[in-house]
Amino acid sequence: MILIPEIREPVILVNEAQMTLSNASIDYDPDDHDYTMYRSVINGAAILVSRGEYFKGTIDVFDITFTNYSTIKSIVGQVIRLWPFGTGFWPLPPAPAVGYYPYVDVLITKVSPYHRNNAFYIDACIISFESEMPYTLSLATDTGLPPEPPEE
Amino acid sequence: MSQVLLNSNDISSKIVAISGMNYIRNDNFSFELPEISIETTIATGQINDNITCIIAENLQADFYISDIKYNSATRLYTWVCPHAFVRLSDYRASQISQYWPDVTPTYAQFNNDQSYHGLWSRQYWQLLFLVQTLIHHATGCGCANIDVSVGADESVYYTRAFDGYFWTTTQWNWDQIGISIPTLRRIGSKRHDDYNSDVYDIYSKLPTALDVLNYCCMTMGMQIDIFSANYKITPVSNQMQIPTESLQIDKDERNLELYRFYESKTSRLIADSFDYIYGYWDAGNNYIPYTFGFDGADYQLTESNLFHEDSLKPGRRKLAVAWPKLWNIHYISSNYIAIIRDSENDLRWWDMWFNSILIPFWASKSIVQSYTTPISDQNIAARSVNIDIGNSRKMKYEVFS
Repeated sequence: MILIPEIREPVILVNEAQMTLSNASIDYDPDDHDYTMYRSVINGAAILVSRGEYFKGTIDVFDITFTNYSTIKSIVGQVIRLWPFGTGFWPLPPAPAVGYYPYVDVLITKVSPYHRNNAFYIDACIISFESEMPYTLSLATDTGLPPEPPEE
Repeated sequence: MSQVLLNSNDISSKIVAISGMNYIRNDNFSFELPEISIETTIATGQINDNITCIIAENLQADFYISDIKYNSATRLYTWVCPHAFVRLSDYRASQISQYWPDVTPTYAQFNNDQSYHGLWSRQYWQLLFLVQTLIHHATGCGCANIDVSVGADESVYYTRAFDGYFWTTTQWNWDQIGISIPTLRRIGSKRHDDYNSDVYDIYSKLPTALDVLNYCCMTMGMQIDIFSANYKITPVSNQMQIPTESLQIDKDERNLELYRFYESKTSRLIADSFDYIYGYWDAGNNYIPYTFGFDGADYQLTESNLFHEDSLKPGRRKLAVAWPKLWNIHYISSNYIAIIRDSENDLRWWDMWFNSILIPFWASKSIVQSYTTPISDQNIAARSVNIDIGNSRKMKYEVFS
């Protein structure tokens, strides 16, 4: 367990700006293990061939505006940074240790819209993603934000 | 299969797939070795590592890794593992050496000549021990540990007889025929010095030590049990009757038909040679030189048909089956003058004489001959060795009416 204080709304980094996915229903599959299991033909022992653990899931965003939908639609097939449980930090004993909400770079595999409330220009979409690299859910050691550009 | 070992370490739990193995003994008593393929997740296997497949108690076979392939999709390694004997194919026949480690003192034991000629006159290698040496070098199994108890007979290892002149001849028992070392080193060569000549591009075609092991099995009619830990060598003659020249079987044996005429074919390769030096004197006191093949020929493939009618005239309810009688070597005397005889009679003018210094010359002829192994005091045709010959001995029959 990562022991975050509370589950917050997921946040993605798009166009160098964080976008909070408000009113979203999350369905994560953290630490999804990609493996193949064999059995020894000699003594029946299990043989596991592991190809890594990945963070996968879907985020169902409700009441999304058309503008935000267009922004999200533009990142299909790209790698963006996701804070699956929101952003923030909190003190970790012993001081001055600080715990940061986890983040992971994910590949957006699908963004599919759908009608939810039959409301015009406000609707829903499902975002599917998989982590770009093998990743197991754990506390981050920093905010995950890109470094500030140096002042000119 | 109960266990698989990699260099004595048990890897049975890591074998995803393993192919079957076939060990075939052909009709001419040559063998075909098994090769297995193993799929595993073990990444530390290396070329030439030993693989031991234990099938059951006292039933195992030795292989070695000759090729490793990796499938990045399945992340499995595929090992190609030929039988341990295949290591012998890395050596030419001329590289077989009695000085390979672990050969002595057994080599000296088998070649302990007590005659006054001394060890320096030894020009032969006891064939059964040659097999032990080859198996040892391929597998590491000690020469003394290889089970030859069925075939070896050290109490009648060989018999020396005094000719009445000043020569001492040596007769070998059938199971322990010797092969001259010069013969072994030049086997497959066209000339006596081909083994070290770069003029003739045949070095790559020379028989390997594995071929020699096959020839030994063929000429002695024996099989090597590769599934026993001590590679038990068993003469096939102990399992089946040595065929005699003819055999009569009652017609009531319903699986056989009646035959009267039979035909056999033998094929042999004859190297070019014209021995104008050696020959014999005929009844008219004419010198007849020995000829082998055609002057200037490369290799000549000849086929001889032997057509024979069974003069025993068996009854209509009898079957006559015959095998062709091949030329018998009764013994080879190797002292100051070497003699090859085709009978047990006393020395005759037409026996083939050759000087021992020309052993390499005559050794080169050994590749062209099919001959039967000698059995003392008996005149029995045994199986022959055909080297580099494509057609095996064929038998054809006609119905007797």
